Amino acid sequence: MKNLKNYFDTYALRGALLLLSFILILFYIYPTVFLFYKGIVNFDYTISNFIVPFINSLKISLGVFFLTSIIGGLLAWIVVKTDFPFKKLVDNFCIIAFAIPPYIIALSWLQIFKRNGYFERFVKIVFHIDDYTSTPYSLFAAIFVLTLHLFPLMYFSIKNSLRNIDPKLEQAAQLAGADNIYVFRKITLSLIKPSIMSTGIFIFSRSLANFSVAALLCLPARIEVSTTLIYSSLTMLDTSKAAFYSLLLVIFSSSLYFMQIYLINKKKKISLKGSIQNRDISILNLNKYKILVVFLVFLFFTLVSIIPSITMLISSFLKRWGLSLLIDHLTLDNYKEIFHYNSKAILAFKNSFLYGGVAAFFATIIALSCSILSHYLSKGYRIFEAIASWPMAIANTILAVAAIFSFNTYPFKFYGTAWGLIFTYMVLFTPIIMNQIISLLKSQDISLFNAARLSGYNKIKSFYKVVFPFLLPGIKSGILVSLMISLREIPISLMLYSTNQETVGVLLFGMQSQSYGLEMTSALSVVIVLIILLANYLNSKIKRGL
Amino acid sequence: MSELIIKNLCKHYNENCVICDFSLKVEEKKFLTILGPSGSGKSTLLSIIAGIELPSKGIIKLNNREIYNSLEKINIPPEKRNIGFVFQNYALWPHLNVENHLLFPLKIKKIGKKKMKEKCDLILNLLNLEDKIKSYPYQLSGGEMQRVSLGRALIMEPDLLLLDEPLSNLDALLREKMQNEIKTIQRDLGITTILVTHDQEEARKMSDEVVLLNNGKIEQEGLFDDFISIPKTDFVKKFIKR
Repeated sequence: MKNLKNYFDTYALRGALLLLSFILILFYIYPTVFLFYKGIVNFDYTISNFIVPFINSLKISLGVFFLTSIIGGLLAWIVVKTDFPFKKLVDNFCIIAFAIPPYIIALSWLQIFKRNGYFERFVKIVFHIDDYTSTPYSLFAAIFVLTLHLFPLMYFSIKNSLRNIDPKLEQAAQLAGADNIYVFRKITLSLIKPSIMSTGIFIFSRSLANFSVAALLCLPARIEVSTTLIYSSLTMLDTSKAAFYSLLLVIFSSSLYFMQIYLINKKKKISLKGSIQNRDISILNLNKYKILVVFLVFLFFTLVSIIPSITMLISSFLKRWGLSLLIDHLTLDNYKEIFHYNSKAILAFKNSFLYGGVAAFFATIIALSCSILSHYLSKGYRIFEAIASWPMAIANTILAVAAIFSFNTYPFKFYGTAWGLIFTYMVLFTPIIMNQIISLLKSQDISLFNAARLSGYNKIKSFYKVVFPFLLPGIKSGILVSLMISLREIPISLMLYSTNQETVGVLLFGMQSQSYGLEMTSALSVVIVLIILLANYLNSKIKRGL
Repeated sequence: MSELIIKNLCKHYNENCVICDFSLKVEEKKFLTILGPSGSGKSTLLSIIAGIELPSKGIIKLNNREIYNSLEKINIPPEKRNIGFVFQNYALWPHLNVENHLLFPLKIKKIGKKKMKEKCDLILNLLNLEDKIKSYPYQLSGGEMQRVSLGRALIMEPDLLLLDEPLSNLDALLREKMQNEIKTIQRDLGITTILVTHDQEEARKMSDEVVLLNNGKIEQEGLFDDFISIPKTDFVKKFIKR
């Protein structure tokens, strides 16, 4: 009987391993390899067409990197190193700023700076400059909007680094004769540099991969970036160009990804096991400048967060965008239209949640399997982890292009069906959920698992009883984050959907260019933001339970 | 003259008195150990002398110069006190190698490159660190890290050397070796030194004089052997192992 059980255990494990390998090869390796093949086969000598858009993408990414470093760094320094009184509030503002999808920030930018937009009207009324016209479309607009979305990442990264520096390291420099500025330059800045660089590279590659903001704010000014060029090549059915350009972008973004991994490892190497519990950091007293600093910080958040949100909210209640702000011009019809029974929006929400939910379920199983294999069976299985994390390095636009090429023929003809979307979402979500699981696994002492085994439980039961309950909040949080991404995701949905498969991202992107007008787009944006903020709140509750 | 004088020093945390009306004189070239149980205020006292923490009141004079005087509102910042400090956890900068640790104080003083190298070589030789010159902290053993930390403090030729339980993280054998090395270096260089420890054997072996601190107050000061033969308070009697 025991032999039979062992026999089953061994074969069940082998079968599961085989299935997992098949899934990883089919969905995670094959599309990229196929894209490489297509790209190389279609080597295009008109590479010059790609250079200008690519340089534009680099300009955006570099701009966002610098601006996020300055804004995030300055805010983090104020919060950690001074006696600034509203530290928690800054955290909350940053969480909200990151939660709002960049496309929605871009929409609100559009409303403010569009012709006859709020800013133009403000200038005309206040300064009486009647011939003033503003334009919202430029490379800088994309940089600014992406910065507003991404600077919280830099803020939290630098804040954590600054807080984890053992204050004795700075005191030792002071005692060696260094003044505050020298200590900051030679010690503090050097210690947080790996954090700035690794988060910076992440921000850089996110900006490089962005499609929707550039499509909204750059294309109307005839400024093409690499992702919009790939999209337009595909819509013009020039698949060979799309494949070749995608290949170039994959090579570049993968190099960035590996650089980021290298920097994270380096950061681990230099981080000290110092006395983090020692909290006697010499806090700078702002004294007479305190009021000024508080004013400037809140002015910043008012300009970049509160005003755009309020304009979006006001527009969502307007009968027609562009009308002046009178009670008579306000209506609830935009919201009624969105929630109208059988409306496109209801279908889009249903689709987003359904596809996102199914994809997150599959992604969870794959992420859980890969991380358990490498942590509890053998380190050799880290290759599974690496394969499933790989999509992190690839822009959503390119994941979609790869899926179109790879899943276009039998026996794997998923393109054109809902499964095409679901499987691509699954690939997108796996690294996100896996990150949550791995960080929890790493923080758990292996002796807890061993203690369960010594108490008489076998490997599977020990895992189920001791490790799984510990991982559950991480899994829940990963699924929630994935669902929110399915709500805001644009390029994959846009390139892979077909009739009756529109997601919220597709609807939002389409509304802007179709006849719905900014008032309807704003109402939908407000609903999306509210759902995301609610999910964020739930996520923080889940994490607090960790 | 590197003499340290502390007069009526107090440090309060809210209502709690951590250092209470503390006065002390450490003569030039002397090795003084401050001994006491955990929470007696030893490390706080050292931080106050170094200028890392601010006392509530009192006077501190080093080298005939007031570095702190609450009445006169004098508070010389730590970088201007010329005090060498060896932290319990060594406080080595993870991004700098051994050579750059030693050069750090010299670069601020902007002395010539040739002189910098001479001084650096001297310390490397003194502390047996020649073959570790390009190593980073994570590549060093506990004893080596301790030596680098000491080297960084010595190279600036401080008027006063403060050692905050520098040997507590080392194993027994290495601790004994380092005790001898530190004592020899201190004697050879003639630096006025204050060591903080809770290890009575260490205090007995290394110091010219010992101060026993309890609840921020001096219980007894003088030679360690006197603590055993003529204990002044019940606390001294209980605390000192015979």
